[in-house]
Amino acid sequence: MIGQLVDTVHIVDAPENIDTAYAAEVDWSQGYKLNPDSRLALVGVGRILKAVGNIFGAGGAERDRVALVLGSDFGSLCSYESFFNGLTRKVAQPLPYTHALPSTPTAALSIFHELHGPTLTVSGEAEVGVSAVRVAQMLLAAGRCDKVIVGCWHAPSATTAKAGLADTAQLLLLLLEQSNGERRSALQPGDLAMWSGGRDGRTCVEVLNEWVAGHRQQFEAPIRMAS
Amino acid sequence: MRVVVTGMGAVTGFGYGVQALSDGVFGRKSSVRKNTLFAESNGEPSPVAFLENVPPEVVSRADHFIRTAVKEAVDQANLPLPLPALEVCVASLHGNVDVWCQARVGGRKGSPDLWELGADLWPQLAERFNVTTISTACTASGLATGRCLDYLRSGVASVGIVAATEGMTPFLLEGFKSLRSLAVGNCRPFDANRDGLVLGEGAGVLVLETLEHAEARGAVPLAELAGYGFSSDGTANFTSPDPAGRGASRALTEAMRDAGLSGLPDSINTHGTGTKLNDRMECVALRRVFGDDVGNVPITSCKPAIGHTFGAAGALELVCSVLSMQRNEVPAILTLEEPDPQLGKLDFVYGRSRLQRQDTIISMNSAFGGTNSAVVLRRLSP
Repeated sequence: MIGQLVDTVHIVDAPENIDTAYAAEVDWSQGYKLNPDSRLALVGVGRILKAVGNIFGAGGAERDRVALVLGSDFGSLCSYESFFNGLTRKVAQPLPYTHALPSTPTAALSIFHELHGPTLTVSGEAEVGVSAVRVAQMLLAAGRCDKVIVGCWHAPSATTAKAGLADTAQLLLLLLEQSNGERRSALQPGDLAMWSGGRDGRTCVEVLNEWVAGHRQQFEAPIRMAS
Repeated sequence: MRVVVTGMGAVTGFGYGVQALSDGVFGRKSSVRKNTLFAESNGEPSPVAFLENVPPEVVSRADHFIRTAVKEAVDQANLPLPLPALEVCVASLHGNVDVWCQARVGGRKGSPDLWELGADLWPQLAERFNVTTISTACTASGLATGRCLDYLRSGVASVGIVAATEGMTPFLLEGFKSLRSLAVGNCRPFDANRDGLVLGEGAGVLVLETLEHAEARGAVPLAELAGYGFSSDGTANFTSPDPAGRGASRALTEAMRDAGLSGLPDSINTHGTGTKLNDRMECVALRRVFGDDVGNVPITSCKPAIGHTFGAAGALELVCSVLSMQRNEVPAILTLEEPDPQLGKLDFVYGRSRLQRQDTIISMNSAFGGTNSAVVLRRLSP
């Protein structure tokens, strides 16, 4: 399967603990306005970068060779709800709307870490984390980047509660690297991540975690878990 | 591995179908008019480009548009169905948000789900398929096109579909009104008096095939999808692009490298939203890449005709670019009257369309959060 799996970060915690972690771990004066999804993503990416060290090269020279792919099924819906609740009172607020764009967390990460390479947001159903890994693998195989931080997030909201999903904030990130830096062709279906199961009451992060557990040996290097 | 376009579908404010889009864009018409779809919070209808004759039983405009446009594109491509494998790259900013809003009001589960866009179409088209939905705001369909290109080049499938859609909803329109980024009238890309963007809705669909696959079944390619590039600004602002245009110029450079294009393109279909900052940034980026030679490249924007369709914008502008190549005609920027002198000496096409052969066209988009995409189209037929 495409990519060396260098490291992973897995977060499952109460939303208020994410806020605490964000305040302690992310030093960004602009960040006080961010939505819970973006704070969760910033904490997670900060941890994976802390675990693996500098991936941007000397002086950040390789920032354009690092990609970011994040997926979510119900991502940013707490911001959807916030903006929509304002609309029902005929008060349209700009900040909740900005946060209701699904790509807000990847935008926050791109700005904070000064990423210049591809940053993509993938939306979907329970399988969206695995879809994000597939996108990341294709970026590597096509030579579009050398490293990619990929995963998915789940932020609890009224909508996720109605769907019977977990009330914890969840994030699973993988750092994948290109094995030889060359564009690869003639790929086989098994070279890229696929998921054919259902949701069964699980979040996209829980589905991705199960998929990683079942496929870690198929990546090009053994997995190393970050603390 | 070369990849070609063999089918196109469109839904725009001009109506259903590529022909309606072609008649509008090249007939110097605009589908922008006062919103009559729903009442707005301040009681003032905004100018938007929207479809009037959507059947009343439609619950999600985005889902309805994508279905219609996929059918048109697949019919034109005349694909041998079912295909053994299909790669589908969907693009949208807000998906079925209208259904989600109705479900919130009604206190029940909505259907289709937020990101179930044309979901039951794909099993009808292929025995094995993979769907990826990109929601990177205004670059979503540019990125979806690039993803599809890479998948086909890699050999995982011989046929792919880029299906991009956006519905006009109170959620979208009130959102952009709250951001105070809308023009008072129609948008006026690159005009000295431009004052913001105008929203649109619709869908753009492209059937992509490897050239080998298309030739083997006797299909007639409409154009080659020669390359793409994308990038992030990585600068310190969510809603404003890098004023130095570094991110957009990286996407352009990458797309040209990917396409093996070393000279000037024959025209550029810009993002051209009509906002002060975006238009200025794009011109700076073009100058970074092409230098003063950029003054020799005709530049256009379709947004005064069809509005800014967000997740569908890149795909619809690619459809317009293929039509432009087929017609040997660069459409005029409909509302441009007085090019902004601060943008420098550039060859904006305005007043009337430009009759000109185009062998290569670049289509570019930029988005909230600083993402940028560029796609290169190349003529295949003599």
